[in-house]
Amino acid sequence: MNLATLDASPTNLSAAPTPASEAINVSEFGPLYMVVIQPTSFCNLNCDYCYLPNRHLRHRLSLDLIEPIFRSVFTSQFIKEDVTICWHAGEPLAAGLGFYEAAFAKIEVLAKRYLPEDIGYNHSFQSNGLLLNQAFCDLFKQYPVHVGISVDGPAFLHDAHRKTRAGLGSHAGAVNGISLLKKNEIPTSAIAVITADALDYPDDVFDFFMSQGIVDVGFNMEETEGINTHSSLDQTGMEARYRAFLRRIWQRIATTENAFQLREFEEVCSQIYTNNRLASTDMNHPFRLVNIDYLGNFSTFDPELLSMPTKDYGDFTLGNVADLSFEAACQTPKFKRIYQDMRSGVAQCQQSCEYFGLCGGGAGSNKYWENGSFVSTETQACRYRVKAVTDIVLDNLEQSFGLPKRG
Amino acid sequence: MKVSQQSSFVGFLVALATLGIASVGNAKQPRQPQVTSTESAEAEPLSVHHQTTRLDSSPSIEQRMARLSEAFQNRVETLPDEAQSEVNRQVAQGWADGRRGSWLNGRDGGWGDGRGGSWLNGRRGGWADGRSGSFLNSNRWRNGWRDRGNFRNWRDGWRR
Repeated sequence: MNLATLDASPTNLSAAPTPASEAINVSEFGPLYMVVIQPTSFCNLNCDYCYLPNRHLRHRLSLDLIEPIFRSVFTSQFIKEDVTICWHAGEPLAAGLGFYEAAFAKIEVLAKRYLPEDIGYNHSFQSNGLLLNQAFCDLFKQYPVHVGISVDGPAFLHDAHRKTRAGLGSHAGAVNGISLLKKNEIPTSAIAVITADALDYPDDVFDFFMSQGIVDVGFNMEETEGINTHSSLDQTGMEARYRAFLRRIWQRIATTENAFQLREFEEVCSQIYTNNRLASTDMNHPFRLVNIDYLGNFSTFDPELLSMPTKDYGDFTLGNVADLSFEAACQTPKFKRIYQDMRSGVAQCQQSCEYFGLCGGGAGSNKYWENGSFVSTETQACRYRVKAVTDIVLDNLEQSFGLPKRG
Repeated sequence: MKVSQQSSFVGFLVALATLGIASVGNAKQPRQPQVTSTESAEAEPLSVHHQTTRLDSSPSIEQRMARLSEAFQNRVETLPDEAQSEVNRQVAQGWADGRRGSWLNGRDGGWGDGRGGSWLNGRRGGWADGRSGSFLNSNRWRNGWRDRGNFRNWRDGWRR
């Protein structure tokens, strides 16, 4: 097999710990499909559910680091397919137009120098949209750029949580950003954080996105993660309400003669339709993702783990692009420990959960922050993201196809 | 609702359900699902080892998924050749690749509503079996990182 496949057998997944002195076979890692770059930790918003601790700090990636970063990425043996450069967290556009003009031009040159001819790249941003202007759009039209806007639906839901540092709502700015992207025909999608406040308003959420012409939407349930130590969805009865919310969204999508696509439903439908299952995810399989902070420090697995100090692991930085390759980082004791724990947790999921084929063992960050360890199984995140979604998709499709639910 | 006008998996499958082909509930023996990691060029048979004890006779999640997969397959096989090819091609692209509108090639009248085109009788090779077809392992949908800026299977505009 050509791959980054974790064999599905439990024997393999629950393999004995790799001794610190034993070399890890990195040929099973990757392929690297996304490089998540945090060009600044700063965010111009102060959302009350944000997991990032340093979003008030105005650090910025030096343009001098673009060359070592992309030399490392483009020459890595983990590069085997097209790769997305995702500019992320805090607010990536806060790095400034001039930064991206220079960075994109440098990356273009480096790609021509280092990237194999049959492999391409593109850029993506996950932005709150407030700093978008025509100049940014003009730049984005010169390159293959996709923009994801973070918007939680209508203003009364969005502005309850996504506030400026002065405590003002940010909805109007996000909508203005969407309008600019649409006007410039820049590919756009949206991610909505679903809090307890939203659960009674599925129609308002759906209608908002339709009214904006945003038909590629993902729901991120509010997570317990990083410094967001409690989610509004923690309360008793929330899961049932969340399921009711999703059921209504399904009804709206299924009866809309338009092309609204909710990521969560599409994923499950795709897996059922193709009869395909997962043995791992991007977040627990090494070097599918590489995450790089403003200093050039890198990690793999969940981007949320980068720059996040913990008492058990320290931070999750594996090295710096200036002096360590991704491949060499795999041989460090730190990586081996993290990887072994990730694998053990995935193996436990496979042993214990009938949704495993749809999930692939989940995200280590959820396990760590909810359960205190990567070596653990069910999280609130997997109940909401995987189990609730799967149940609703199966119930509705069975009904549509006239299949009995039982027996 | 016409199959031909759907550009999401949900819309497509719901439309497929309305085609009115009988006895999907008596589907053939479900095929073994294929397992991949996050995304793979090949697939292996899935072995499910979870030890969940079911206290009632309700089917497992895997059984329900396999049964639905079989129902989809049966429905797709009722589509004309050309339509099946188009479905397979769309799935190979990851379906939602950022293009809007119909995923069909602009034909009006639609083959999915039972009125247009000829219906396929024989089974096409390669429907999601990972052997003779190609789309299975090209499918990019997965339980991926939730916060990325292009969570869609956006395929346009790779810089090479």
